[in-house]
Amino acid sequence: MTQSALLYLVARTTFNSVKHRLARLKQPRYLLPTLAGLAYFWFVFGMPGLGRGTRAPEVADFAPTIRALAGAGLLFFTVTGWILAPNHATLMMSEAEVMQLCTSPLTRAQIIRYRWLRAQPATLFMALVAGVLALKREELNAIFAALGTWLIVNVMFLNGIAAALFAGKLKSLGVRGLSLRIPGIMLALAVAAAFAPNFTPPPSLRQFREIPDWLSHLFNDGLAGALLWPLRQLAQMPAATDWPEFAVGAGVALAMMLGFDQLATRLNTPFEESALDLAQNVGRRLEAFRRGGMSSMKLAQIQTVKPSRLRLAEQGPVWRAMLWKALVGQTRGVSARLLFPLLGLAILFGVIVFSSDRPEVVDVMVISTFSVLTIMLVIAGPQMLRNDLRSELHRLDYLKSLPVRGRDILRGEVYGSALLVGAALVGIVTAAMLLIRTTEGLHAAWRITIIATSASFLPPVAAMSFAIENGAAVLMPSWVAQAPGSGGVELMGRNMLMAFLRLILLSLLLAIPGSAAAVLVAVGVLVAPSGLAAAMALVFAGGVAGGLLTLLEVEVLLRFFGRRFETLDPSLENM
Amino acid sequence: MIEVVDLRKTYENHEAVRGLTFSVPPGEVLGLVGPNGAGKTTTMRCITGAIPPTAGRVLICGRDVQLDPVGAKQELAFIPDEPRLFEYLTVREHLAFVARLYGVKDPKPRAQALLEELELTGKEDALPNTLSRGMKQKLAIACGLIHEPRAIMFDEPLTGLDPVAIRRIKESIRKRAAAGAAIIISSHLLNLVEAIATRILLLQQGQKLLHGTIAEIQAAVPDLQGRADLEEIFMRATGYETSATASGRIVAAPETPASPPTP
Repeated sequence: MTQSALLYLVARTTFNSVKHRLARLKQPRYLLPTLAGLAYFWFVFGMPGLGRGTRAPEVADFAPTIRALAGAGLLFFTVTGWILAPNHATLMMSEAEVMQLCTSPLTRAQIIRYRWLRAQPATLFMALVAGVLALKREELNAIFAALGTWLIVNVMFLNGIAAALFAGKLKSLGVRGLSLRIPGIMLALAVAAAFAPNFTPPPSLRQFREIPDWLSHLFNDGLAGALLWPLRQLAQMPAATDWPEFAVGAGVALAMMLGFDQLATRLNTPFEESALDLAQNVGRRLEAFRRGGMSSMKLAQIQTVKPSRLRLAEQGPVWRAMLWKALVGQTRGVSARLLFPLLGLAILFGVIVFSSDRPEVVDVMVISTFSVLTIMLVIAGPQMLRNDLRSELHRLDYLKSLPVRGRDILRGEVYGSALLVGAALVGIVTAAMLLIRTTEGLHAAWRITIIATSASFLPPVAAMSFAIENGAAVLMPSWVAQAPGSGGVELMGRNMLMAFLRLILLSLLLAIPGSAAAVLVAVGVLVAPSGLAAAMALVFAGGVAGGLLTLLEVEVLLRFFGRRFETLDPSLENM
Repeated sequence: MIEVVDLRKTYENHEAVRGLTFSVPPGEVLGLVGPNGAGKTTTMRCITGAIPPTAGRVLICGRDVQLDPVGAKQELAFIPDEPRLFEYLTVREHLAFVARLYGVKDPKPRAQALLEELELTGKEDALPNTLSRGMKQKLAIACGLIHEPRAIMFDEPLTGLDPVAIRRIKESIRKRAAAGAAIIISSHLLNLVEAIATRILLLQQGQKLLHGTIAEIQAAVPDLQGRADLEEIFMRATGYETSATASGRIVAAPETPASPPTP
């Protein structure tokens, strides 16, 4: 009776979710992204003739090795699950599920099985995708691919639950610290001991053809082979060619699922408190992510903070107060750890540049890499820093009650983000100028000119990029703020359409100042006296003119978006 | 002074507010009540300038919210039901930021006084996500009061507060009214409204159903014979409870100027 109630809950939740998504397709704002997402999905995975074929003979030769590797991969995930289990909460459910189910007359075993049941719509969808993908390959059977994927995902899922509940049980018995990891470490050591006798030094990359034999010996012989056998059977299910081959894997999968289920349910681990903590924590982080992306999610985790070093003067233009607020938000939302990859890249390039004896080749590499970085930052910067109007839409009614014009709100939000990205862009150009070695072609004065020109042009370009993003938040709030429950194909399609529109707009808007700057430089070249100083002055003047024109455009846009902001109806945004 | 004149707001085919006229003079606390969907939130949003009315005017201290939005909002504070706090600003930074937006001169002493009044001292450098629901609500109220507004709008101000905080906020509201602020409180907590408000405005289906002091609206419901509390009046007036003697038709109480509440 109880299980049927839980089954009813899962079935109705899934049915209502699908029904709701289908019903809202009547609205163009949901229909268009869904169509775009489906078109993309069809183009990449489903278009007849695209990518369909059989494996090349060379690849077919490696099939046993690939299966052994897949089996080893599953073993790795299984063992890792047990090692990392003490880090994880016992059972992940929503707050509503914890509050409803844990206070209902249900046994823990029933709740654990409900949790497994609740994961089935997602695992079935994954199986469906695997089946569709298999249709494109002649040697694969779509039914085996779908069923095999479904079984593998379920084995891994139940392994994770069993490991987490086992760790939870140890915690409830008072085990703490490193002792909690002993079962996982023991398991890993046992696996390592099984593989150790098979280990021989690997062949070099030049002896590429010997690698399959080396792997075959490592994975298939002796105790390691016996240990990996069940996981290899699992791994080969999606690629099975006949029912007997599939049945062996399915039998192993069902046995493992039953084993993990029995372990998880018989432990009777008190998971309620941990599940509630996790549900609340995840709920808060997801809500923050929905509002303002990664930076907001990070902010949701911060417990203590130092007063900002950015000072806010007590008097002055209102937009500067908005700018201050935006800067504080951006700087607190961005982790300094984000700088590590950039620092690593700079060190790597430094080593390459100063150890290479072919500076002209290295220079080309530096210029191309840093140019790509610059373009990527202009385009992707607004996706990385979202602590602006896009993350403020949920408090629109409050913002609109403040005595601030729409354009001043937008100014603060846009320039706050643009200052940071602009500084990063100038930093990239400066790094490139420092790393380039061919001094004959690039005089020191030229390097300074290029840095100064980029400093006058790139921050306004960043401002334009953020103005477009914030303008989208004003013109299409329901597209910018992620609606609850949105995801999958619809979200993918929406992101694609937004990225496309963004790029088109950015290109069009930058074409005017870019062309004007180019014309200025061209005219200057014709009329100005020749010489290095004149050429540098012209380039700099072109950059300044381009930057000023871009800023002018940004200001015009902000005025337009600001007026639109003032008429935006918080009750209709339907976030 | 808050004046609402023939306010109308229409959404596609739905008329959320239908020709609403009322005023809140300085020193008055108006309790805005009504069942869900009565038009309270829409009315509040029109008054705060969050949405433009379809027709009609809203004046805050004589300034039209549509024609002079910045000037009108300068005199207004809106404290929403859900604290709309910036998750990346500390308590102190919130107050500094809002003070700057309203052009408050020498804001630090005022901020300190509000922190003490609302028992937020010791939390100055805390981020909102580390505060309890009640603390967040108090911070939202402090932000609303830092510029000493002459018109204040509270939307469910006591949600999530403990009894001590509720008493504090009630005192705070009365204090502001006594100092001459025009205050509107929208709430479903009828005992709160009855305890604080000097006049009641009962809305239903976007229209004014009753408007006046408790005594006036009691008198407007004939079968209650002037004895009922606000909850009883609400139930009868909105038709959720009827009596054999009820006339079934409610007549709005006459518009009479309110006397300022006693502190």
